Amino acid sequence: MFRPATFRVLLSPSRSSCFKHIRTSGFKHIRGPLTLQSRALSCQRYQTGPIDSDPADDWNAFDVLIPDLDYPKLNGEVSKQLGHQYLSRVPNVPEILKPKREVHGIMYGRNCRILYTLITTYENRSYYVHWLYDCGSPFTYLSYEVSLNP
Amino acid sequence: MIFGDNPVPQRFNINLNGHTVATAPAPAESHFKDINILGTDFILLNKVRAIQDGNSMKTSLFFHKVHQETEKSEVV
Repeated sequence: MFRPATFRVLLSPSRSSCFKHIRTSGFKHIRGPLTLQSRALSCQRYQTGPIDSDPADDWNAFDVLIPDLDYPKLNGEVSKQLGHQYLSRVPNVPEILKPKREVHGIMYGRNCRILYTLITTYENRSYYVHWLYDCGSPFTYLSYEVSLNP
Repeated sequence: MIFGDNPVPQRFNINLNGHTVATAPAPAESHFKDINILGTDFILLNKVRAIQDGNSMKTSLFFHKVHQETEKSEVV
């Protein structure tokens, strides 16, 4: 005997609040570029919880998928195109260490990743480091190879 | 690498092309551990102009502050 499928809607007291939460979070991320003023206003207007953390305010919560770039590519193909070996020491010559007005980079791969080589200095030690410019990232991050490995 | 055997602080300042920027190590659970990300904070704070040319597949950063400093030093 054919019996049409029935769908049960499970009603829970938190259902309406869940939908509301999703809806507000949807609005929240479709907003203009963050300034200090707008960020302060958004913090007052939208309260963030443990589920809906705002990546623009918490630098430790930010994440992005970049599957087409990794250390071997940065060390090989990207270094060839940019003209500097990745993480090599910059000679201690004032002419080279002098800040440049223009820095030229490349658009790499199918996804046109914007990459620059910038002389990166920390406590009198300078390295050639390849940086990926991500206009979706409000913060600057250093990779494990640069910061952690001895 | 830059910290050697010392513990890595959660936030630290580094110098990029003569401009200081507050930087963080990539979060432990992130998917970009291999990559150094230049964020919009560096671009906005230093008034950098980023231009991409889809024809030549080249891109450039123009540093406004360096331009001003060199002009002043030339005048002096």
